[in-house]
Amino acid sequence: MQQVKDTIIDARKQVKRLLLAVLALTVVCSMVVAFPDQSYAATTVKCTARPNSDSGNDVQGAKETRITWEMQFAPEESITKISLTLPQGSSCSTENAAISTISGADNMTRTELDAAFVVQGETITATLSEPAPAGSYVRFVIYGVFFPVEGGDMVCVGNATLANGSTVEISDIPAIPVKANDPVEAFAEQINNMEWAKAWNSNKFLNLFLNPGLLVRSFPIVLKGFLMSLGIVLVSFPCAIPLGLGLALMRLSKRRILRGLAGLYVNVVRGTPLFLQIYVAFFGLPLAGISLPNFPLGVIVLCLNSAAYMCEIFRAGILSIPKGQFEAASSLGMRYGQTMLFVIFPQMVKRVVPTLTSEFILLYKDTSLLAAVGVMEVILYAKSIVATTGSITPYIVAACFYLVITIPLAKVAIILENKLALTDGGMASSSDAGTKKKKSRNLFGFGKKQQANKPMPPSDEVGITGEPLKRAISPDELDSL
Amino acid sequence: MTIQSADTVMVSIQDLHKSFGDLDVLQGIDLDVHKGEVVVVLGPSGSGKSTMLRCINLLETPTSGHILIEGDDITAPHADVRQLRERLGMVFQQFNLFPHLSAKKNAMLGQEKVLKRSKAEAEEKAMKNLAKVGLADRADYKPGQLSGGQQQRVAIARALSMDPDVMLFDEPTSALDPELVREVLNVMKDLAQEGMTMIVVTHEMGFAREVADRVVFMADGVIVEQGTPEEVFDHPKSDRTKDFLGHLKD
Repeated sequence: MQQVKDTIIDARKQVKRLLLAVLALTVVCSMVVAFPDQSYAATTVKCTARPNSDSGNDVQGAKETRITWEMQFAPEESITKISLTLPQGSSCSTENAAISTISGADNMTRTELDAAFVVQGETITATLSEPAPAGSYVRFVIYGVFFPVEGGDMVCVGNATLANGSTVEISDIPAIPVKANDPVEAFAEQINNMEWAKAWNSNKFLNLFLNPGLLVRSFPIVLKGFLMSLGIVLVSFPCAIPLGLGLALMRLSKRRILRGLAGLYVNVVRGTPLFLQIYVAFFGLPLAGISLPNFPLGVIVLCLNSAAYMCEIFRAGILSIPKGQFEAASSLGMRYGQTMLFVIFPQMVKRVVPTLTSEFILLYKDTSLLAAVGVMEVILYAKSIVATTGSITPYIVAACFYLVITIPLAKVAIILENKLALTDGGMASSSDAGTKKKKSRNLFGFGKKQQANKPMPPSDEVGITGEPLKRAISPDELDSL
Repeated sequence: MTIQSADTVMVSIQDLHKSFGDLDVLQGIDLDVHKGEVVVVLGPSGSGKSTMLRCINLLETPTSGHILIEGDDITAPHADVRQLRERLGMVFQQFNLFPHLSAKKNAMLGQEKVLKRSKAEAEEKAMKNLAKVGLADRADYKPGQLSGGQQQRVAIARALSMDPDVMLFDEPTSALDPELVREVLNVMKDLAQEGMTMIVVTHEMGFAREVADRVVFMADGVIVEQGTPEEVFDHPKSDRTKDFLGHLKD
């Protein structure tokens, strides 16, 4: 019995001890919370930076923001001077900087304190003209803050000088998470903060169409679209060449059925807008259960469209070759294919290259139509920036991405045309020797310089009926070679 | 009529008719050309002489009639036209050289692609024939860099490189400046002397008189008269021939 009692007492004692220990711990803890270490002059209540990202949720480096730092001083403390040191690589401005005390029942009364602000390196210091009331809740707002471009957790350190002359460090400031900013974004920001850019942007028109910062910012984004557009045209154009050549040979064939099929294809494709063809392919095929990714489908549509135009280019090119060339080849006993391959095509290529260059330019510009079905090309990327910024500038950037291809190519086409006009003069002399015809310069690169009995194929081409043209050389002649 | 010793008929034209739409250009031509014979076809413009020549290697399809090359009917429904054409060399009024190829390559292309000769063989042959027409030094020139007379000689070398049995000349000097005509005619004369069978459509009376074994005078799609140069030029029988020759003398 006694043993049981002892055991119970023992147990009680143990519980008591445990309770005491818990109590002591609680007291210590609450003391720590209630009375912070006296080496701190103040307790930081909050220190935040205003979000400055496009989404409005994050603070980004190398982009202007504002820091708001609020702290509670101990009851007996009165400050005369306070400074904040930003992390290495940051900067801030004295402009609009403000220091104030907040008081009242629910911290609604704000009293601006008169202070002089100085920025030295990464440190901004506010010297109060008279000490702040002891134990005040102080709010320090700093504008024009730029964190380093690479971002990270930004740790600031505060410093306060008290009325009694002692200086205390405030090191409990929470880190400010800053997202890395891409260098272009940072550069764009930097540009728009330059004096000239500000003056430039103050003009409504210039700001709307040629905002320098936005110009820089749009560049890498629209570049992605440029690569897409260029990729599409660089794949579809070479694919369209053999198709166009095949169609051209079909249209020149003796067989009515081949001629009719190719004629129908060419007339349908050239007679309907590419826009419509894109819609049919992008909305029709998925409904039919054929779903292709945007890039290959875009390539296919543009390739099939361009082939129809190329067919006419090649056909005109073949028809522009003097009939005598076919006759000479066949008098040597060459087959149709051999004649085409070794005699006609080499001569035709020179003549069609300028026109093909123009076709390339057209096709490249036509990639913009794919924006309508959501292919992320130049215009769609530009549009996405326009939608968030309200400035037309990205469209100007898009224009540049077209011009950078089209202008040099147009130049190349002109050079090739001139070169052709020269060599064609030589060729004409081979077939026109003795007749000494006046040679006119020919902008389209073929046809006009042939002898009078080899007419240029009519440019208005063919009616919907697919009726064959009056040709320099008839399909029968071509096939009989 | 001087008929050569070898009495093989190389080209036989039988009742050849050709019409373009309503226009009857050839209205029944009969002509045999023997091996080694040089036949010069004369006649006013539009008499159908070029059309007849072009029918021989089917550059024009005859409307009716037959053309036999060494006995093989080139106009038969399933004749191997290309194989028959290989035996015929053609020289055009406008030369029709391939402008993208050098003189040598012009003469090599047919050999390599049609006769399937090796490149070396074709080159050797081409050079031999270019030398024959006196243009070995211009082998690497493009047609555009050559004079009309030189181009026509290259065209002859090109045709010769195919080793044809018969050479057809379609007004070979008509497109040439007068001072260049001679060099082409000389080449043709050399060929004739070598015994090449030739059918020449031309307006060069001097050449006809000097080189031809037989002169054929055509007018309005028919052969009006034929015979030795002396017979046709000096003692023409038909008024049509007399009229034509009279005009030339003016």
